[in-house]
Parts: sequence; C-alpha cells; structure tokens
Amino acid sequence: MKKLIILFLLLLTSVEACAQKEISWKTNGRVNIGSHTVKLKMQNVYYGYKVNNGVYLIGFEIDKKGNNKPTLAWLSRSDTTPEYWSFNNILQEIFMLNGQIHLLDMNGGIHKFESESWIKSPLKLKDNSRIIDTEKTILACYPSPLFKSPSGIGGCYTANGQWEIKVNWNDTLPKICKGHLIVVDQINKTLWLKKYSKDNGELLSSKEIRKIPKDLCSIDFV
Amino acid sequence: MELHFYPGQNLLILKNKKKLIGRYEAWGGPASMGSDARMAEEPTWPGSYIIDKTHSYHTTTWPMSKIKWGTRLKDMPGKNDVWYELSSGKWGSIAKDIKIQRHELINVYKRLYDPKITKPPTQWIFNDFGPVAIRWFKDINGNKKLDGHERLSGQMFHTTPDNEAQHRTGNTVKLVPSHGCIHLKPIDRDVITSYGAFKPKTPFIVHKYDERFVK
Repeated sequence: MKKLIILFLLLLTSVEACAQKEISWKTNGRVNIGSHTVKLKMQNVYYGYKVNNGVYLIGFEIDKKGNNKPTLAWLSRSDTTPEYWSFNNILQEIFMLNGQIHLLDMNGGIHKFESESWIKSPLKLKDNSRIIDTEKTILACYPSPLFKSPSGIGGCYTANGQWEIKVNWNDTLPKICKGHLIVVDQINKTLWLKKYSKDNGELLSSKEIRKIPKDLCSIDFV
Repeated sequence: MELHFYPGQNLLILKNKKKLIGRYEAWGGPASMGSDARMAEEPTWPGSYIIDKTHSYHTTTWPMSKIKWGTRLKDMPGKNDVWYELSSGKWGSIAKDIKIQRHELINVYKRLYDPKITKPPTQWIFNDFGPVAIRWFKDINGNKKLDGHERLSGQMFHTTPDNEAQHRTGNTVKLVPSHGCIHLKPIDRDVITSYGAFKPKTPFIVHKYDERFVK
C-alpha cells in the first residue's frame, strides 16, 4: 500500500512539473510566470513571443537620464532569472526560421541565436519590415511612410528577391490565410481587400470593403 | 512685395516694385496628376493669388499632421506610449490617436535627427507641414481680403520634417517634389518672412510649368 501511495505522489509531482505555467507581461516590465512575479530591468516592454519553455520580451532598459537601450529579455518557465541582451538598433520582433529563433530589428537587420549569443545575419530586410511568413522563404511587408513626403507606399516582398508588390497599408498587418497573402490596400480613400499568391506575388482576387475586418481571414472572396 | 513661383524651374522669386530681391529654390507638385495611392500628387495650380496668413497647420488627412508642430510631449514608457498636450491642457495618447507606438516614434526621431538618439522628443516635430504653413487664396472680388465665396487654397508654402531636421542638424537641405504645395527651405522661409513677403495681401503668382523666369 505504501509503495502505491509513493508511486501516486511521484506521478502527481511529475504532472505538476510538466504543466505549463501561464506567462503574462505588462508594458512596464512586470512579468507573471504562474504565481511568480518578475520585475525586468526593462522599464518598457512592447513585444512578446512565447515559446514552449518561456518567453522573449522586447523593449527598453531606461537609465536615470531617460536614455533607452534596446533590450531583449528571455524568461524561462523553469528559471525565473531573466537573461538580457542589448542592441544598437531598436528591435521589432522575433520569428522562427528553419526551426531556429531569429530576431528582426527596425533597420531590417536579422540576428540568429547561436552559441548563447545573437549573431547578425548577412541577410538584410527593408527598413520597418514585419515578418509575415517563413514557410519557404521570408515573406515580409513594410508599411506606407508615416510622412506625406516623399511620395510612395508600402509593400510586401520575399527576402530572396523573387517578387515584390506595392500596397498602401499602415495599421493592419498583412496576413497569410489559407496559404495566400491577404492585404488591406487603401487606394485614395477606398479600401480594398486583396489576395495574392505567396509563391509569385500575383494578384488572385480583390474586393472593395467598407471597413477593415477584425480578422483578415474572415472575409470570403467568392 | 510680390512673389512669383515658376514650378518648371523649382524657383521662387521675390520682387519689390519690379526690383529682384531674392531667388529661392522651391518645389511644387508635378506638371500632371501623379499616382500616390495615399493622395494623388497634383500640379501647383497656375494663377494669381493673395497671401492670407501664416499659421501652425494641422489636419487629419495625414497621420503625422494631426498634431501641431511644437506641441509638448510627455514620455510614458510604462504605458508604452508618448502623450501629447491637448488644447484643453489634458494629455492625449499618440499610440491611440496617431497609432504610432513609442518605439516607432523614437526610431523616426533617430532617423531624422541623429542615429545616436535614445529617447523620444519633448515636442512634436513631425507635422508634415513644418512649424508654419503660409496660406493663399484666389481673390475673386479683387479686394485683397478673404471674403464672400473665397476660400483658402489647400495648397500652401511649407517646409517638411525632413528638411527641418536637415536644417537644425547643419546638414544639406534637400527639397523633394510635393503633392501640390510648395516646399521651401527653412532658412528661405525665414528670410522671405523677414522681408515681410508672407504678410497678408502680398500678391502671389504661380506661373505655368513651361514659363521661365527671365531676369
């Protein structure tokens, strides 16, 4: 009987250890991992990327003079001591490429995590790019300029140079839906929802819309 | 004082009683309609106008121009935002109202002014129309006053945030074509203003694109 009880307790402990601790964070750098709270040395967090064993958080460490140092933090679910890396360029987002973690900065620089450090890749994307897809190659989009001058709009492209399209998008990040690239393109004051082939950038379908849907994948093109 | 703009030469001429006072580089819109999907570029329309006023301009048409140049900003890193002072004295959210995140704002400031910048600006210096816009109108009834059915032109003299940054950082000011307005260098705007040529009632002529200034 004693043996059975011990076995039961052991099983219970291992189930608890395997259970995923819920991770959440606030923009002021406070992170909750299960019931544990961690205060990062970053006073500003604007992006998070959860993976199985933890979370990557992007933001700034701000010194007493108000200087913002672009910083990446890693918090593991099992060890609540954060790891930090600082960068010169402001960071944009984390993405997976060929099963490995990568980091994109706002100047289009790509950094790959190797041997416990971030190595800058020779591959460079356009400024302000956002990663949309990495299935075959990197498919990225950059928004229209914030400023009136000079003229010009945003676009989407593949990092291997296979194709590029011009689209006027700002707040609504293009998205992959059922294997196609879906973009809201504003031409003068009219909104168009457009579906492109992600293989060659060909426009497959478009329809005028009155307002931007909450989920770009919810619109039926037929 | 009289102002003459020759869009085909990117040239603004200031005259006083037919005497040439100064010539300044100035860029208008293209000779024919453009294709910018955000707002098609248009020619700076030839005609005779009257200068009406100089003021700090803001418009909802362009995101960065929703806030007047020089508006006070307050950094709110813990809220991942930068606030701007409203005319009521309260504070508005740039993230909410302009849809620009704090880190994007710092990046724009770095790009314009100095790659070493590490904090948001303390004032709004991103309005597309610069600190001031100089407005004109078609004087239909010839009384040099904006009245009756007369309206201010949507085209105006102004500088750009890029050119203001180049000027303030001591770099070469490089003008670019406009959507129909007339882009001036900050230093030239100040010089022309000091001559009193942007005062109300100053005659202003936009010449045709194929017309050339001959001294």
